[in-house]
Amino acid sequence: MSWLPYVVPAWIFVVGLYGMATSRHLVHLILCLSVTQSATYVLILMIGYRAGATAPVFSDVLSTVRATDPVVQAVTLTDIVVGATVTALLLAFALRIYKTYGTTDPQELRTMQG
Amino acid sequence: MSPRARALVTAAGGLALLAVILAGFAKLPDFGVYLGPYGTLVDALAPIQRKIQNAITAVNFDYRGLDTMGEEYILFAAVAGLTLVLRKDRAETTDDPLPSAGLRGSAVRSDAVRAFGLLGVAVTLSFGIYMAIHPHLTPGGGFQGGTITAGFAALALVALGYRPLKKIAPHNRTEPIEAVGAMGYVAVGLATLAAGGAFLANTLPLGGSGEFFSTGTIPVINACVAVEVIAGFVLVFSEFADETRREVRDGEESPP
Repeated sequence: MSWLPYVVPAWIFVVGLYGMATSRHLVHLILCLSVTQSATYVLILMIGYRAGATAPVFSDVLSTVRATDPVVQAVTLTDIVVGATVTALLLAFALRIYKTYGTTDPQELRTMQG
Repeated sequence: MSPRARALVTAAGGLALLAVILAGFAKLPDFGVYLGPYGTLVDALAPIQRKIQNAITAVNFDYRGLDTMGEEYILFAAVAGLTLVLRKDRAETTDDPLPSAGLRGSAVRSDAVRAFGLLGVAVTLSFGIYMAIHPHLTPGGGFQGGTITAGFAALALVALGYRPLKKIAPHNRTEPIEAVGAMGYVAVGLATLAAGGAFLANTLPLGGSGEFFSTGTIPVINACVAVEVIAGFVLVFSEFADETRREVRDGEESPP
């Protein structure tokens, strides 16, 4: 089944969401968000893949050789780095929530209850 | 809602969502079959048009340079927000570890930690900078290389301790460096406007394929990004390192 690999990003996405919704610790919640986010990387890298193709870097291969889509790789590359700083920002929020409310359990934070 | 009920509801909803996503994926081209036109075009044209060997870098810093500028400012805003959030009520950070840190806060380090930590700093710096300055010739670039390079700050914290890290990378030094990196990207864009091209158009001479000084504005923009990413991540590490120290809040007496 050649679309079976697409189950991987869908599964990563849903598992990350499940982790976020049932999380009992803010750091765990933030890491689950990173997992969810990485589902998009897996998906768009898969869409840019071409069977039997090499990476689109032509330092040691001819530029006529079959290569994968560089556009999706460029997007993923920058977003991983930017996503890391956003995760750091969220961890800073978690630290401040702990200092203010004395808990890291999102389900104990009354202001966050729906 | 009890945690158990929440888990059950979320699991049921998650499985339903999984089914919807998979139904949406069903019409995607088979894995390994690439139908988009842009990847093929960029792969074919970038080595000729820009004399560049890394097509990914060509997309990042040339063809879609404006998008990457946006990404860079997300990074800048995230780091600025982090410093703002963590520094809210801090008048001054002392060198004392937090009372709750126990032995982890002590200044005693084994020689092995110090030696291998310093070795790690050297390897990280040299490999990271090597990677950061070769965006056009290798699968390197300012984003990847910058992140690796900035790892030296975390290793220096482990190997040398809090105070030496603050001496190597004080906030009043990393912050202006980060701002210069962020501004540099826009400055390159404005310079290309002044040179008569469009914003971020590649107006510098392209040079020969495979040479270090080639591909026009790409290495210049990349250098700005590398500076921004290195300074940004070092700032993040040192902000979190501050959190392991006792703080003096506004209105408190500073220790003698």
